Amino acid sequence: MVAVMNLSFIRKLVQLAAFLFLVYGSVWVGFYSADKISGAFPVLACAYDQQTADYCALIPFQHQMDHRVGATLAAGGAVLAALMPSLITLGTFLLLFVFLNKAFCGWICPLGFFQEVMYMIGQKLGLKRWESLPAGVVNRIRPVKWAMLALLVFIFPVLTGLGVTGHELGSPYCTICPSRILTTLATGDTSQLVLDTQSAGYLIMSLLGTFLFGMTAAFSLKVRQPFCRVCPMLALHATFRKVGLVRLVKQAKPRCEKCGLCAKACPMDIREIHTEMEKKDVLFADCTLCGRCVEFCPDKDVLQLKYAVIPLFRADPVYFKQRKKLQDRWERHNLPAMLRRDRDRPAAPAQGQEA
Amino acid sequence: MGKWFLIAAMLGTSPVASAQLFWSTQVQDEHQQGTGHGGGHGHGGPVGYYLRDGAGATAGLWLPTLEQRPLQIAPQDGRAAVRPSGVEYYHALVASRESEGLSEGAVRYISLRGKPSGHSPSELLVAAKLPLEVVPDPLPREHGRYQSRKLATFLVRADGKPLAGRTVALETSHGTRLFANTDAEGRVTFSLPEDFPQIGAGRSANRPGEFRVSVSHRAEGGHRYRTALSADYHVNPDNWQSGLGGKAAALAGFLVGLGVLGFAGRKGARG
Repeated sequence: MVAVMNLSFIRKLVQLAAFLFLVYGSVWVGFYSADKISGAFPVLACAYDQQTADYCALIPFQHQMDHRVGATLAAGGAVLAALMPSLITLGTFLLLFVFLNKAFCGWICPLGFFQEVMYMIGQKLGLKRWESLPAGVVNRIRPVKWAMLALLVFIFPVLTGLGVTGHELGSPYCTICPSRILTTLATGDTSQLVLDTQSAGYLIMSLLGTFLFGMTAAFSLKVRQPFCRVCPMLALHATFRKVGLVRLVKQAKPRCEKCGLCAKACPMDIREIHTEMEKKDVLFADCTLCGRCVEFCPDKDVLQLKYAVIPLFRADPVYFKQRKKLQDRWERHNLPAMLRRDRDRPAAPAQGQEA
Repeated sequence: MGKWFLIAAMLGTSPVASAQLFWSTQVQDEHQQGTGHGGGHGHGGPVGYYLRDGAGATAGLWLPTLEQRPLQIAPQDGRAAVRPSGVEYYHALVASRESEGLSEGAVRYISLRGKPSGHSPSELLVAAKLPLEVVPDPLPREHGRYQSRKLATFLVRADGKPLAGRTVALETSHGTRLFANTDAEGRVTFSLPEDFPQIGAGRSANRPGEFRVSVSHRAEGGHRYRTALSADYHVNPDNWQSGLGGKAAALAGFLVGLGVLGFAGRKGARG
């Protein structure tokens, strides 16, 4: 029982509860709640989902850049007044963000949970999976999230408000966000899984969005957290990670240099958790605070999840052994292994035949 | 046609005899042409609200907090002087008129900008604003709207209680008239008609139409009540969106994703 109730299992339960709340939450908290709880939630909960309980901060940011900032600049108005709604959204976002920090990604985001479930399905189907992406690939992917945040959440919407680009780039991130399609489909609504033929621009954006959704689903079967690596919300979290109360800290020991199990366990392939030997703060830009590195660290207290100064979870050799054993068992049980067992099982003696 | 007049007479909404009180975003001649404010996403001009056929009526603005503020109505065109209330989201424009043996009312829910009110629109919907009232069940949420070929449900209440078995009319600014009866819980559902004279590609290419849901009721003492709820409805985006194309693109993305991984996996994957 102790072995089953590990951090990853608890995290899956929290993710499931968060998914149900963020996708279907209006059933419990009221139909109109999404429009009044925060409107700036730090995960990809989608306003297009008519049953959601709240929606993500990226939606108001894009609308404000387009309809307020861009439009005000175009009219020669006061920039500070135009920025006020965005500052209020940012303030609301930060009020929530400070409590869980980047754990919003690893513990709460519905799209993150979907990708993990797909990866589990890939494992159970016995698909060949990528344990870690090559360092060169990871390094090339990392800047993409910043470009997504800058271009799709801020720059293109402002340009649309200024009249430089068309309306199809007014909220471009929402148009391509896989969570928009995922969460609406989860409620039985197929209205977002469409190609929009009203103009070439809308067609290209909707094609990108639907194609990306399919690709994310496929990649998730074999690669850990493929979309998270380029998600603009991850970039937004990374910008403010120093103000969050949940921390990942490291007290490096000489053994760390030869180990590297933490980096191997990391679903975001953050090698620096392993190689960092000086700094205590190892909450890197790509971290989702899932805690797997702490679980798979075999040395006592080397890695810790902390809430401000209070330790929440520490690396422990006994826990590591149990967790490793459980992980090995989990990896062994899949569809091909089950079929192999059935095939290799000796045939039962025929009725009436003597043993 | 004769059946319509009979039902309309029962409702007190005869197109010939009646001058029904209702809220509109369209001035009189625009309404006759079936045109209104722009349908774009926040890029249209400011919306004006007009109390139609409102001679002798009084009007007020209900805030999300249920505070009521009087509204000035311009006598020449019926335009209501709606000013920001300081709080955001759904407010209700409410008008009423009393005459010999007849109480009339009209409601329209509008969204205003401001600070969060801390109150759910449910409170505004539940509050009895008129003796006879048609209430959206529910009001569209943000990123939702009334659309043609989609179902819209309304609750009819008299003195705060559901009114069962009552004939309700839905009339659009494009001339469509539909009738349906309320169920035991006072609910009535219409499929909003796609009666736009021309349909362009995209929301900004189509002005929204208006519909009016009206009902009348005679109380035990013989006093008559008549009420109307009005709202915008939009062209269904299925006219320029392809569900089949979307599914095909997602499937293509899935297959390409598997192909890319299969190709790359020969070098570095494990089973």
